Amino acid sequence: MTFVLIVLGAGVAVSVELLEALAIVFAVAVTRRWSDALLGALAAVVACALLAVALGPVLLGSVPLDTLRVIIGLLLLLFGLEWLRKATLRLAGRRARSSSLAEFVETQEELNEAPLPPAGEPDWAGRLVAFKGVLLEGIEIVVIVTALAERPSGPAPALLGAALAAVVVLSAGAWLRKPLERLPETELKWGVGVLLTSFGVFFVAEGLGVHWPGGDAAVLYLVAVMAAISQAQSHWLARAARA
Amino acid sequence: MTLLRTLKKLLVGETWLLPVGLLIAIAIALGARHALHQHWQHIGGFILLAAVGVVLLVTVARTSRRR
Repeated sequence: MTFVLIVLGAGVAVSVELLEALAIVFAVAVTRRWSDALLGALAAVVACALLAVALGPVLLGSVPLDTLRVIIGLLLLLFGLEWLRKATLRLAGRRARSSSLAEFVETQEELNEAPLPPAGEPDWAGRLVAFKGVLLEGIEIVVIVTALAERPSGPAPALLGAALAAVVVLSAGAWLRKPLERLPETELKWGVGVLLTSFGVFFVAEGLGVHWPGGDAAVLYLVAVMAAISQAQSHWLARAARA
Repeated sequence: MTLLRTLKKLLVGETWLLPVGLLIAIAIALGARHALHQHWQHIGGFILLAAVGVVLLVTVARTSRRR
């Protein structure tokens, strides 16, 4: 069961981040030039790959297991709680809904201010925007997947989830714009927030010597509790706003 | 400057309340582990879960009020 949850958590988290990165690269490509957008994105992918290669072995090789669990749990809690906080506010109508399409439009507007250099000259503004967008979304992907992969049971479920997400999102890239309008991104991000926060609580507690009743299946009731807290608060906030 | 601002947002999120709240939750869990001795391994997880739940409730409530 934990295997499925980790595949799901890594898969949805990577999908959402990849969609946002792809929206930025598309915006640069459409507004400026494909070659500069792809060059900027490629440089960021190389930087993220180097970070992933450095991060995994260093964590595994030099940190004791219990300390590692606490570090991983804290990272997951930091990301998960932030996603969950924003999603709770969005579901309550207290914040604009999440949208990669908005990211696309914002990037286009950002680039409108910089003049496009003549053909044959490098477009540094376009490259930089594509690089920055892919790098920042990529760092989140590396941290989340590395954290979920550093389980004693092995990295297989996290890597499988990430690979599935990469295949699905990148192959959908060709007809990206229309699906972006229909994706329930707020709900997806809420689900990822619940999963990451639950895994975070699970790992930190394990690292501090807790034996969870039910073993790995404890993740299931942690997910139920975090989901219930967030849903109850978003309903309460929505009702308070209407009153 | 924009990159630095975005990196800060990536690391600590949009509000300092969350990392600070998380640190307090961990401090409470460590204190409880010290005080509860062998009982910690059975109920410690639920203490941490409650503390994280409170962090979520407080940060959502505070950032909701700000808007």
